[in-house]
Amino acid sequence: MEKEFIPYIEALELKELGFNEPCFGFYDDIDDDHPVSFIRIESLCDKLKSSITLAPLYRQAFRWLREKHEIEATTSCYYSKRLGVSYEEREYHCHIIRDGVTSKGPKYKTYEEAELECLKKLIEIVKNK
Amino acid sequence: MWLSVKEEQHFVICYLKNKDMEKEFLPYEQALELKKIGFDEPCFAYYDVIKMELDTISSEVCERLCKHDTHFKAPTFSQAFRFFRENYGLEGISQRAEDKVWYKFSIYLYLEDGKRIRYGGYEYLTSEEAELECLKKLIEIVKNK
Repeated sequence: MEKEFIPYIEALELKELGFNEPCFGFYDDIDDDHPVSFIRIESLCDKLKSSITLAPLYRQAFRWLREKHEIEATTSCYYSKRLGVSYEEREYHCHIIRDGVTSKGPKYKTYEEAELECLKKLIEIVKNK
Repeated sequence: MWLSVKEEQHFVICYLKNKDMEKEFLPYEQALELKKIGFDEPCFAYYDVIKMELDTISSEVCERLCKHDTHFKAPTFSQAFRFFRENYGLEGISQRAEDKVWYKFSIYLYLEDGKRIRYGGYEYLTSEEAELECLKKLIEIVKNK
């Protein structure tokens, strides 16, 4: 289930950018391994302490970036019969939409890898604004 | 026990925020459809059939509860799309239409002869709406296979 949440480093970056929304998970800042823990819905508000970093789901992180920073991204599959790339050889890449313009990122072997790289790119763009 | 005005406000804010978090999971109807087409992966949320309510819990407890007919798993949207991708080769994406204010969704189904079929929907006001419609279409495609 851990893969549903964005990794610790990116969660920390989002925190620095101001992310502070209710989450189902949090990372322990003190424990060096930064294990992710789950929070039950009814106790969400009690967990907003300073020694933790909230662990948003990927969907939450992308929504926050879309709503707060007006930058959005989609991870999609790439294969092309015309170019001889079959579905078995498919790759995934990220489309970033900013100011009405779409830019495509590099291709990765898995959806998850492309999604994470996409998130890193969005964070980088927002940090350099 | 009587709550102070401040406590009551805090309770109301928490309740609203928590209700808002439910949108991370598939709605009741679609979660049930996913169960019917074979979704059975670890989850940290479930629906109670009698109360028709969602709750979150550890994935171990969720697994135990969902062995009974009284509960079933509530996947996150990401989990659901991964399920279709990995089990049926169905790639569903929702995104903002370039230069437009509305959202669209696309589903690609790869066929053995190298051809592919595309399904799509347009002009949704929000990303969430496009995503849910995409999911409904994915369910429909699998059910009609």
